[in-house]
Amino acid sequence: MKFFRSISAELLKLRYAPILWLCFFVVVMVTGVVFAASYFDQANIVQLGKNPWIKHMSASLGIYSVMMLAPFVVMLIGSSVFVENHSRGWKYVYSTPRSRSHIFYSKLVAIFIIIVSITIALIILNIFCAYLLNFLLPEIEFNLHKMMLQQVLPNYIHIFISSLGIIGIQYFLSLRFKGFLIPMSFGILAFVVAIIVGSMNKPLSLYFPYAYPNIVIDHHMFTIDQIGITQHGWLNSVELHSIIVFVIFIAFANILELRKDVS
Amino acid sequence: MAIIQLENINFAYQKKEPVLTEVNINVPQGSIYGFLGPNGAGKSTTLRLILGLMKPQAGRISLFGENIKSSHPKYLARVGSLIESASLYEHLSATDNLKISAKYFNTPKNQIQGILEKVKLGHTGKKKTNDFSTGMKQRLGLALALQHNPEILILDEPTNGLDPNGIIELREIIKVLNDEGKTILLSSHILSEVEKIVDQIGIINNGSIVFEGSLSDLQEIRCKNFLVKIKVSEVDRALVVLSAYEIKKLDAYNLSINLAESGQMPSVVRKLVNANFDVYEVTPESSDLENMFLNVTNLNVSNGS
Repeated sequence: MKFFRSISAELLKLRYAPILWLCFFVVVMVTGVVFAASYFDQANIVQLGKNPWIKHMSASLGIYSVMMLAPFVVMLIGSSVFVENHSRGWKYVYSTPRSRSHIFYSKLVAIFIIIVSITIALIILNIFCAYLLNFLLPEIEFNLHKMMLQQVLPNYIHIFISSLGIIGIQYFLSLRFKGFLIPMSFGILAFVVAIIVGSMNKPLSLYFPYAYPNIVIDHHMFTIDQIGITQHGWLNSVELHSIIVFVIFIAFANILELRKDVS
Repeated sequence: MAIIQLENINFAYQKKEPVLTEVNINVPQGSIYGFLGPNGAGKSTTLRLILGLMKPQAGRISLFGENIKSSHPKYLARVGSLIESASLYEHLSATDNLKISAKYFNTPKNQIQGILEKVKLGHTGKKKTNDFSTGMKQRLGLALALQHNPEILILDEPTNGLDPNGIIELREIIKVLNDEGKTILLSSHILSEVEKIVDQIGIINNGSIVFEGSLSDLQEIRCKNFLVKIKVSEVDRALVVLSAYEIKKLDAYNLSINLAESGQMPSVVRKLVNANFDVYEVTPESSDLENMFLNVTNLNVSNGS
């Protein structure tokens, strides 16, 4: 119960913060791009005998995971930790009857909740967007096909798992540096490097956690695999790497936080 | 009984640069304890150690009779604190800030308005704390410290940035809280600011406690070692006339004299008048905290020898 109250406190801290505009921007941007692309490129969307839902939802997932997810995670985590630095809040939260690990993990869970909420909002808005397209362009025939969410939703979960490595690294950096600039610059730079490395040398991108969402979306949606990804049950090797990176960085960040002097 | 007890505390941010050396403090239950010292003396560091924000390299800190090493973080449910400026989420209202605090301390939300009224912020509504004045922010910081009805209140330089009215208001609030039975540990670098409300005093200088005792003990020391500035017509001749005293020329018109006790003052003035000096001004300087440290330190040295 205490833990839920702390998570709720963390979420309350982000109320009305600029980060909410960022979340709004991500959802609207992804949906807007998909809507515009479908509206102006009907020929590509309406393909005889094919379910338009799969193309529509996959396009949204593709833009989200390749273009938006990593920068969004970088800025979200930076902001949610910066809220504490900016308000000189650490000395206050660590003077409450909650252990440092308790605060540490409640903040992390709050970040997870925001990422999952944004993903759900994105899915809902995309469904709404499909019906709007159907109203404007009845020939797309969304209403005549099944939504096929069971095909798309697992991919969202795979993408979330592949972003865990980025979450771990960025959470570590944001707690390590008081300012907003260093962790955010590092994150954005790493994301750009990951795109470059991914396009030039696929095997090398396996060593860049910031490239994992990109690799995983390729693997699951387009079944492109040039780097020998292996499957381990429901998860693949890249997702496992992402989980390992996450666990290492989170454990390290927690140890540093426990030993930190709050001045 | 001491509700806060520090025994032989040593702390350094970096090795070989000690911030606190063998600090011993005893805060009696139900008292208002003034923790005094100049800027950089180690006051805030000491208070941070009490709150568990930092760990001492040596020594023992006990609150409510228990070592905080074993009772952390549970004991913090009985402690309220305002360390330097208030920690506020400035994009949120006062109510939202208190809601966050209520979640950490597990206190009911319906008390929030009452606490805001207590610190005279009941009218602020949805106004963001970013738009609050310094005094309002400090009062909200105090509300955050009070929300869970703590037994101990730790306030670090709470009057910083407050105007005279704000200082008086805060002093009144502190008195009321003490009357309700709360123990208050209050740090400041201005003696005159706290001496009106405290009953126990600890003085820290260069990371060491130079005095601890009641306000009357301190008054006694102040009377025993009395530093006075005198403005006279001929300073050089006055130095000869008053050569029996510990005396120092400050400039062409002023000299300072260190008396063993305030009772010697009339005879000094009489001597000057009888020797045909014009005495323009006699200003006691012993209320100045820096001089007080010197007095207290000198007294400790002479007692030791």
